[in-house]
Amino acid sequence: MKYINIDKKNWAGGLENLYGNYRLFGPAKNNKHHIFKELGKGELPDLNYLNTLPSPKSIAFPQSETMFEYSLDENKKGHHILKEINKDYSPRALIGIRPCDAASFLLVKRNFDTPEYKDPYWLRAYEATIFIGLACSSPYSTCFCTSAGCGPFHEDGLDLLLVDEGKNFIAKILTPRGEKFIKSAGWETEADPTVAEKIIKNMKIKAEEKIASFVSTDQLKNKSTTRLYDATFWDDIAFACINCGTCTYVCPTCWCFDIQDEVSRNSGLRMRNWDSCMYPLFTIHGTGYNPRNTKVQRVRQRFMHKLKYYVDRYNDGIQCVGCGRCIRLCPVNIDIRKVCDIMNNYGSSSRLET
Amino acid sequence: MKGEGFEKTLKKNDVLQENCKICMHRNPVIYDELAADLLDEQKDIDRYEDVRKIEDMATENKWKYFEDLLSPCIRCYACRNACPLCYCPTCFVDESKPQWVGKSTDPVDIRTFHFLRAYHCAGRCTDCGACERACPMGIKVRLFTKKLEMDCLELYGWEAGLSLDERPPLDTYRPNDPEDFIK
Ligand code: SF4
Ligand code: SF4
Ligand code: SF4
Ligand code: SF4
Ligand code: SF4
Repeated sequence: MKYINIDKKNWAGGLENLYGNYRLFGPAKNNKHHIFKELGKGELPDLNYLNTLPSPKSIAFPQSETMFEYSLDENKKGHHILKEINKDYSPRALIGIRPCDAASFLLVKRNFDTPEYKDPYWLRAYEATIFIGLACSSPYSTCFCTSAGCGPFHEDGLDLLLVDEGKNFIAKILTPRGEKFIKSAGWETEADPTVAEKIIKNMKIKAEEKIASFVSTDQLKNKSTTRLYDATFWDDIAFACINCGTCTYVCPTCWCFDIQDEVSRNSGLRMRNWDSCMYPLFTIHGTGYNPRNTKVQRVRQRFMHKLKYYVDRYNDGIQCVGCGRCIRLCPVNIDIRKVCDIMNNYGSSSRLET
Repeated sequence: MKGEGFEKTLKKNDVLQENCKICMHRNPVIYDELAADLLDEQKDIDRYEDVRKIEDMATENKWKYFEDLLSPCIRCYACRNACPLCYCPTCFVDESKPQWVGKSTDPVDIRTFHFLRAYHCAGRCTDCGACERACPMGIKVRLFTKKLEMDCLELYGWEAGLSLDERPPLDTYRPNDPEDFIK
């Protein structure tokens, strides 16, 4: 494994060299919180942050994305044909993404990149993106990544991991793309791998010790889907929920969308927009019948999807990376950690459990 | 307040919700039993300082101000869902037959939602602050409803939520209703 020492004095200069080769995205302060935004020339990512309020999923999955345009004007060439919109898929770098969010891209990929179906919009954007992670040294009290399949120094999904050592970053190169990125920035000082490895290991242990909350997920797979579905605890869990959908919009791993046509006179657009299982409109039929007509049903869907259907379908953990956004931002304090434990422990004292 | 490596004492007024700071009705208006003693109401409070500041802006600045205010909105509708006075079975933004408002992040659709919601609340909003508290993006949504709340007070002498017997001003007609704003 190769490690590079980046003196912070050379940080801005390196980014300057990268500008032009990559579209650079990084955290920036907006109002009182951080968001990921495209950085202009000379603009530095603000790495003094815990995590962005909205997740960076929009880099590959914008809240609203136009896919096609069309014209019904018979005097125009190619009228009545849906035409794809040209987009910028040139290389882009996501600088300072947290390990949980990077892991979320791999998780979401399961949905957008399957043997039967490949989502061209998500995949093209994903493939154009290089992920420069920033290891976490002081997590939120709501971070529970270590029990959700990743952790503050987790490397899956990253091309490069930056570890902040105060005056410098240690950059751990994880992929050839990461190596190319480092080269084109001109950061060349190699660090002694044994020393770097040791520093990172120690920092990692310290960071993991600071993670204060956990979920247990080991029993989810064994639970009967129908028994969980019919469980009586859903009423209590859903009681305070206002079905605002915030939890799903800010979640890096929620991938649902709705397709809409917008027509004005004789031209139009076909776009897709985020959607959420928390909204009644998500499931309403053309007839007006809604199979998920109550709040309880919708809350149950969210948790069953993340913590049961996904678990059964992919056999690789839960559909959650433990970033804690849904917990921090839920206006009524519904906490996925508690729900996960309730589901995981459900019926464990009962002999009838199958 | 304590956290890792810091301790801080905060003044209550610095962390109170904006609407609580300027509340003039800290005593319940309607109750069967009162669990504690009545409090002195706050006096000499300027409830509408922020509204007037916006009113005094030049038109372009006002537009820019609201544009910036709404730019982080993700249209999750938490503000609407948290609101105790929204009572429509289907909100106008959720109508699908026909669909009145676009679903994208187009600023026009976002504004349509906010302006219409505010007008729907005119004369009924008590400035409880639930919308602002629920907004995940920290948008000061009350700035829309407060202007209308102020107008209701100034034009009709009406404060919402104080009487069960009177109908709200936008729900009634009196021959002597002020009409100088109709041009
Ligand atoms: S959940 Fe883990 S990886 Fe994500 S921000 Fe918190 S500590 Fe970092
Ligand atoms: S954020 Fe909370 S209140 Fe809103 S839909 Fe999710 S669980 Fe319900
Ligand atoms: S479910 Fe909550 S904690 Fe898990 S990834 Fe989504 S926002 Fe983060
Ligand atoms: S939890 Fe709901 S919004 Fe999120 S991916 Fe699952 S069904 Fe979609
Ligand atoms: S709660 Fe905030 S982000 Fe959500 S729709 Fe209202 S103003 Fe927009």
